[in-house]
Amino acid sequence: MLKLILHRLALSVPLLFVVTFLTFLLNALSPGDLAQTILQGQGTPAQVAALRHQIGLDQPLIVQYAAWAGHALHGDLGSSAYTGEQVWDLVVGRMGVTLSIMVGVLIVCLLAGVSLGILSALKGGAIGRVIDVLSLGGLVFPSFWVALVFISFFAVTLQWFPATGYTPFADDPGMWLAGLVLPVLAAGLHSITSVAKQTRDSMSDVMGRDFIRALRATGLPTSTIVVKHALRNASLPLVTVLGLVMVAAITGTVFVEKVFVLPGLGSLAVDATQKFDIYVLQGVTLFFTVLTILINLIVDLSYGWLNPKVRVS
Amino acid sequence: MSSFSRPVSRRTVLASSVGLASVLALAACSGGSGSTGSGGSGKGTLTVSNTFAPVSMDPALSGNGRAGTMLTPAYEPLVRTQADGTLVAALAESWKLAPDNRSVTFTLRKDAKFSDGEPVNADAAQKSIEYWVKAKGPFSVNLGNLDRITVDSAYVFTVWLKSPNPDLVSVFNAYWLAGNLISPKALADPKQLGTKTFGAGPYVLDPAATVSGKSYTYVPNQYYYDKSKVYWDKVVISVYEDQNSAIQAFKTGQLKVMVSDPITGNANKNNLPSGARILSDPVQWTGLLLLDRKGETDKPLGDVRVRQAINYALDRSLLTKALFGDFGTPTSQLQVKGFVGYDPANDEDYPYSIDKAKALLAEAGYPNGVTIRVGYVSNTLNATQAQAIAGQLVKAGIKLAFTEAQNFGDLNTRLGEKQFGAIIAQSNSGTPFMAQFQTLQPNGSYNTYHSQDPELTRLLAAAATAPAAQSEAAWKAVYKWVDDNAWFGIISALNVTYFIAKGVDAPHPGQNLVIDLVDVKPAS
Repeated sequence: MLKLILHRLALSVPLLFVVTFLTFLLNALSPGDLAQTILQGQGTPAQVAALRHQIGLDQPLIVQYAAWAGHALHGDLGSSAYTGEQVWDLVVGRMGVTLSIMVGVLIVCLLAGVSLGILSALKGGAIGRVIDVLSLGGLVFPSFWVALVFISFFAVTLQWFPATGYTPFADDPGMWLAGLVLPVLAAGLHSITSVAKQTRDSMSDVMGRDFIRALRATGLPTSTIVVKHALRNASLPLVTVLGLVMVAAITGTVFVEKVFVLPGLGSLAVDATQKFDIYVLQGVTLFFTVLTILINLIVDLSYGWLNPKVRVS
Repeated sequence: MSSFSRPVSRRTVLASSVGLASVLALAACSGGSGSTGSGGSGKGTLTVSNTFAPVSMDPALSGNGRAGTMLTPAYEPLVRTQADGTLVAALAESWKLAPDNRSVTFTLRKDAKFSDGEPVNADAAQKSIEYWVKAKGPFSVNLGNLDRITVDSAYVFTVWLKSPNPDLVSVFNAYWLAGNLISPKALADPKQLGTKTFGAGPYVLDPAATVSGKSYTYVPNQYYYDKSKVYWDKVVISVYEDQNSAIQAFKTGQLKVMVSDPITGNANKNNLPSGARILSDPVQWTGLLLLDRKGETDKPLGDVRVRQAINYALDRSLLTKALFGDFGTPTSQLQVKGFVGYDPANDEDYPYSIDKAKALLAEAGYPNGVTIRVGYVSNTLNATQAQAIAGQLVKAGIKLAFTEAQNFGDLNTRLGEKQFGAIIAQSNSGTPFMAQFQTLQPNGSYNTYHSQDPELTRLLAAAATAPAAQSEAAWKAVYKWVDDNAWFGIISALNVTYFIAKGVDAPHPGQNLVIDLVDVKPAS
């Protein structure tokens, strides 16, 4: 198992270089640059040229990337061109917000998505159709629109939750949770319906198999059959979907953090992109890439845990 | 299947529902008012939204205006500009501008200290201003003609210029930042200025509670010279890029002051929470900047008659009413009403007339109309203006071909490549000598084709050296020339717009251009 993990991680190293280089390239190809953004359109052409030289933007792109990669390999991700903050500190400082949302989305998907899926598979009929409609709704309504509707209804009208903002867990656990409810629901709505649909399809398939009939014949309680046997057999495709949900949640946090004014990595990435703060952007890209690799690794490992045949192979 | 599954599904759903309900209940019980708690002395927290973050917390590198909002709690300027344009004492208790507008002598108050305990004196002021100029930040150009700074005594110093500046004292207000003095101790390591503050203002940034680019938290500065002006236990300024989110947060009471825009103000003016109000003053111009005045790439713009035709074809009243409602005023001038240089007669120069526009185009040799390439930075304000302006000009045969830039850097790159001869943009009016650098000087950032004219140069020089009593007339002459030569196609004076919650007193921004947060206090 350890060998497998190390092998998979080793294969991921080139991916890190490819993704970070592409980010570097796209940033360089975007109109505008760091020097112009720092001077906010107020600098003369000579001032812009001097600043470009000072920060090394007049060097060939590959030289700039090699310099960054060399430092990164030694654990130095550089610092923000604007505030001087270390990129590592920025990423670590904001990681908690983004991971809170992602884990929240996962929990909500597991609780609500799987429950609705099982219910639909067992009862079918109207509930199944309701889930289909909800799924369509989840696809049709964009996250930022859903977020604004949630704020308007749950924060402004009902005043159940704060409209925006983030409170660190250490400051006030209650407020931390309250501040996450709407962002998590907005980011996770689409995923809940995806998980529910996948759970229903898988469960319907499994519940119709011979071994389930055999188990029923032994007199086992239905709850045991569903939870211990059917759900486990139905969870392989479900795990794949949950892995995709987590990866999609990375993108979702970008929109949700903006609307809910959350100081997470998604908003940091957007700010860094808009300001051409390349080292910060590289740091966030690196983090998200590593996170995606880990999610995929966990999904692969869970296949083995859920299905002994996969483990053997 | 359903015959044996019913009991199980109920329990499953029940368990899940209980779990979810617990989360929601716990969250709801914890309250939804956000970060509005009060501190130990019961003064409470001032919560503010701003539309963007400063590029740096270093006064030498930060932007001005609303970008400088984050600096105002922590950095005391030498002087403050009031809403009516008058200057009042801050760190400088008095000042004297030389008759030739080439130097100003400041006398500092003797009881001021920086937040690190260092005294505010003439030596510190000299070091801070010299650093500010040397750092070559975006506004260092305002002291680009600095000759020297002399320390006359412990609390008196003089700033000498190589050329006159009638608005020299204003360079040292909270808007233009040169007077936001920085502790000399901190200047030994300027890198720390990006994330920490070392000013002599009523508050000091709390780096531990601050997330750069998102949320800035300030606590009282124990060394501030006037404790009676420390109105809050804490000040929190958060960045709300999305005005929809900000207005919702304001309605729930999370924000006490919301920095907004005319479009949001107009849309929400009749739907404010009880006791809340909007403070709004015209300080900004918006419209077309007809930059290619020599016709290098957009040949028609090289003819003053084409530029005048564009001005005649703009129905400013209709555009302003439709786009900005009560939060805009039709005008064709860079200096909007209330600012030095504004002349109501200039607003009568181009009455809406499609016939006149067509006649001028024909006279200029374009009877079949012209096509002008126009760029703008992508945002709601510019995009809506672009469509409205294009819709009007096409009636006179003037077609606009738009290029949408993603940001100012993108726009400047495209301008450098001369991809278009005009742009849609906006900026503040302000003191005319300072404002001219952006729009009228050959190297101004809004004069990218480096337009100049001997007559305009003469008028600008005369205005720069005019004694105070003749300053207004001199600047009116400058703007009369600009209007007659149709360098711009300004459509409206825009109101800077703030939402203020019940229980909070705040001054009008007026000619201060932005609300100084130091003057925002609990309602008396």
